[in-house]
Amino acid sequence: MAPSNDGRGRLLGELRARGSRGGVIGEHRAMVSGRLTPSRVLSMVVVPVLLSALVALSLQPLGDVWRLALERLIPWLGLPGPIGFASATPSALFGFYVPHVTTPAPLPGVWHYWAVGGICALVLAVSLVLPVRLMPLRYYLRFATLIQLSSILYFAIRPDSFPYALPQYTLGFLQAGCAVLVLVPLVLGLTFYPFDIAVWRKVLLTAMVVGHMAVLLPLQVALHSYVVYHLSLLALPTMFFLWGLLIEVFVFVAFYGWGMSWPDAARATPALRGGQGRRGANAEGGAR
Amino acid sequence: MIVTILIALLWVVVAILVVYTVRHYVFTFSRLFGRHRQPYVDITVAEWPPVTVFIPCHNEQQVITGSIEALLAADYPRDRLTIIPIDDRSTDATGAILRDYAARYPALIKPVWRTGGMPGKAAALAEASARVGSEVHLVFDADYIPGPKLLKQLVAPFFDPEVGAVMGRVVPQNVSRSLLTRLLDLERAGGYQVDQQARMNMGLVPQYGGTVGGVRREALSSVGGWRTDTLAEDTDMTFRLLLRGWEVVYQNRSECYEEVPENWPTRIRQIRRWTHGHNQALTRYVNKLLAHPGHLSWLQVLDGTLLLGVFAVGPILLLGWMLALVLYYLGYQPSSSIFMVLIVSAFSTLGNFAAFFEVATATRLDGSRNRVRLLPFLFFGFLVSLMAVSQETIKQFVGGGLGWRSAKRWDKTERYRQPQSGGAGTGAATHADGGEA
Amino acid sequence: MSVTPFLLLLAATAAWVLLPLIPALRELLRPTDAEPLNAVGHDAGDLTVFADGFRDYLARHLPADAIAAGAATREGGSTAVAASTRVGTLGDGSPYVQLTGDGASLRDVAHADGSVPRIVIADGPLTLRGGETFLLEFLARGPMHGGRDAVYRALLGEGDVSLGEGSEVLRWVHAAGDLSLGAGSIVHGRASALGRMLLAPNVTFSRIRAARIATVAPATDAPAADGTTDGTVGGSLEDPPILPPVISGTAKLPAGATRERGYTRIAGDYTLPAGGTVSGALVVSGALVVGDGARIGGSVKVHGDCVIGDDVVVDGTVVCRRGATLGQRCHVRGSLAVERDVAIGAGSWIGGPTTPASVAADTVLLRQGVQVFGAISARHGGRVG
Repeated sequence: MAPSNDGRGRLLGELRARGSRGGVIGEHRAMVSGRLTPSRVLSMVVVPVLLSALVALSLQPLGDVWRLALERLIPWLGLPGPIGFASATPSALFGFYVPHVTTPAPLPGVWHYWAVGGICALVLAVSLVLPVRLMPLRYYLRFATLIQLSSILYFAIRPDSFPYALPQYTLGFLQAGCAVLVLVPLVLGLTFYPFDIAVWRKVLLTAMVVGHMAVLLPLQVALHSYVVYHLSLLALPTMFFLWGLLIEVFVFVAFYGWGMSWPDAARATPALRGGQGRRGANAEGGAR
Repeated sequence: MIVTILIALLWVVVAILVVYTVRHYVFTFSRLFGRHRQPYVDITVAEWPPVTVFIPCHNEQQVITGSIEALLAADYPRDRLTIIPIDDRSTDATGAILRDYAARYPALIKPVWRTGGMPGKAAALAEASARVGSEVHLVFDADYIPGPKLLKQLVAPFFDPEVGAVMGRVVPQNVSRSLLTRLLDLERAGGYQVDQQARMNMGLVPQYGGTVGGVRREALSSVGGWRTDTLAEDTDMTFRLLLRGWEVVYQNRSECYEEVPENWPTRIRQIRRWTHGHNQALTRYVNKLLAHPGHLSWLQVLDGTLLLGVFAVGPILLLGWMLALVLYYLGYQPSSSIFMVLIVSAFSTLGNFAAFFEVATATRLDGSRNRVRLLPFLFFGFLVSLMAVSQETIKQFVGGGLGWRSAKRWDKTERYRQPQSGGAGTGAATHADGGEA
Repeated sequence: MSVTPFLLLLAATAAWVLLPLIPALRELLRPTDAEPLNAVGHDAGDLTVFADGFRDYLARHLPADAIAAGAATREGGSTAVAASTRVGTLGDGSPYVQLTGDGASLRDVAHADGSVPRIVIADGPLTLRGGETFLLEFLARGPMHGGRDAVYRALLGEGDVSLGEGSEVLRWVHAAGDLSLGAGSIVHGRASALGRMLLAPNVTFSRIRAARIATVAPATDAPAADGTTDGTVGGSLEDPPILPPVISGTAKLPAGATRERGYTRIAGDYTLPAGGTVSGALVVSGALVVGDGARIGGSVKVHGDCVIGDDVVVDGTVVCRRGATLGQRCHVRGSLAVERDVAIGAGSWIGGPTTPASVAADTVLLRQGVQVFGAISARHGGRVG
């Protein structure tokens, strides 16, 4: 059947874009680049700012949920003390409450040094026997051991001068966590939203990251509290430096990597290599 | 007082990290949305100048055949092409392979046999290039497999009288061999597709990488030829050319396969070699660069300085960790939780998240979609790099001083390809998918 | 003290942390994207790659009897043959029509709107009426004269090809002989010819290549009945003059000029006076203005805009970081690589009959009588003015 005039125009447009065997020869990967359109800039700025504001406004109800969660987890773990609630006021106009444990963590006693030292020795020994292909793990374990040894050294020299206590630590941790939650949409706005991915996917990824961290943070608080309560303040620096917000960053990167593998929004013509999109994928506009 | 000094030092460390973070972001946005510059890639028809292709070799029997066969298939006027493999006291079958090729193609392939002098790639190039009068010298490592059009693409920028060196993009071929090779594939993508191209876009300082590239003979002799007292003759060359008024061009379109390390010890050796050479260049050229030669813009001076310092960031980051740890024990509280987040995130990502952004952007531009999911595993690669860089830097600046450690032996990446007889090397690029038939 | 709750919580937290890692772990353990980037080094924009591919494709899929029929037609010489069509399908199922004689017989296979949904193989000289739309590739084994306002998806000519005014090529066109594009024609993809490429006014293009590309006046002679022309559309094409090399420059260089190894560097803007000469290569960090009749005895690199007057000779390549304008009757012996827009004045030459060269720019404007001996790449479009 002969195509209509409108259809002919579309057909010729298709023929320009496609090879005769139906594939699309996109621009070479070395030559592709994107276009920063006004709508793209808008979505990079407005949507993340709105989402960030939404997260900020949700911090108060989130704090309540965290408190409820900790009120169940802390006793379940056998840790003493009620859950406290402290205010956080980043500005005069805005404030919220953040829960914290009140469990007192002891200063290290003799058996704490032995226990923690023994764990360090074990971890170090493992790092020495790990196969070469697990070299990054070797380095990480040794780094962790160094952090822990620094704590042992500090307490051995100045046992009464340690400036931190478990309750303040958990409060600070959750406050910092709140800051991270508010920042997540803005960081994604800068690093994920510039790409030609559907807006709903962008919002979905943002929600998943924030939601995941919102669940993770109180779990970390509970775990840290248990470890520090039983192994004494010796373990606090390691919890802070290695098992604190570093985990949130790792989670963020994992989500980000997954999100960056999502397809372009504008895929009117499929790439030559199908789903893998080997040719012609670019930040804006899809294959030419 | 001590706390004040430590806090100040911590601020300095954070400031340096912020500068490099901003740099990464700027580069990535430039690559994504900036004016794309590859001004020479469309010079496809020309009166091509004489060119000499050097292939430094030391025990390369596994790979040299693939490289030479690829060059023999190059689309370049035969009467203007000379291939000079430089055999530097190989003890395997490399010499025999080269003799065979020289006998079959006497006008085209003219090996140089080194029996004395300092070993190493730079020394080999220095000796061989002194004997050659062609205008353009291209250099390929023995395990590289250039495509037929690559020589013309790499030569084209030299029609610009200001261009002193050109660098193409290296693409890992042995990607699927291990987690490390997959991570290096991601890192290379970020480094070339985004970082180098952004510097080209912005008229900054693309780095000559020592392979899949070339130098103008006139430029080479104007800066004193190849130096043998450095482990990173490519970085050294970049800055000597820059200071002397020559441009280094990066051409993203000029791709060539390479083999990347497949195990961590090899990778660590490679990183340490690069670190040592790069730090040599840092101490040698940073003052000259900051003296702001008139022909360089302040942006070029800034970018060049940051480029020189790129391998110093690792130890600076470690210093930051130590400062943070000490201040932590001294009870130092950041004045705001934002600052604390900044510190933590900067340190947590072993540098900064911008590097991940750069890598992810590059893989997306490449049209490679699913491999970017491996992004979190880059932590492993960055951690190993951080430790290797820091160890080498500490050893260099504190241990042995900054004596110019020269390449007293061949430092090269292990070869993994199986030995080839005559014929195309394994892993030669797949055929063009550009055809419509 | 029971550690069970702690272990359970630890396990749950670990599982929660590992959740976003699932895509990464899947890709690691069951790779779906672990191959090296494809076609590295083998797809460097060879302009005739599609034409070569189409030729190979036909060689593989054209039925033997069709090949024989075509050979018989060509062996019969250039005498007029009775128009005939032969339809069929290629080995891969693509429909084709094989023509001999004039293109009138295409009516039998065309749609009502003139679109032809078959690969067209013309075995002998061919003249088309115009207005057709060829939805698949077109192979012209003999000289071909296309009519006005025809649309070709892709066209391979084994001889001379002449497309009428207002023709449109969607993907590519290649001629083994000369290629002529009528006034107002549009070439969206690539165009190449082993012989000459003659561009009439208002032809637009992007990437073209031929031994000699020339902008010419529109053809005034109609093709002969057998479809051939005398090939001298628009008059003869004059070669650039050969001049002795520049031994020493006569132009006074500004005070800050420095002689580097290989070139003379001038900081800031520079004006080469009319009739002046500079020996060797030149690098200007600002804008460059070259007066009429001047000569640069080497290549020139300009960081700013470049304005070249009339009758200027450059004995090398012109590289410009911004835009460039060439006057009339200029000769650039090497290539012209401009990062923004270039306009080449009437009667100018780029390259020479024995010194091929390229023109590369964002947009390229060619005035009448321009000749480029090689290739033109206009990233954002080129036009004959």
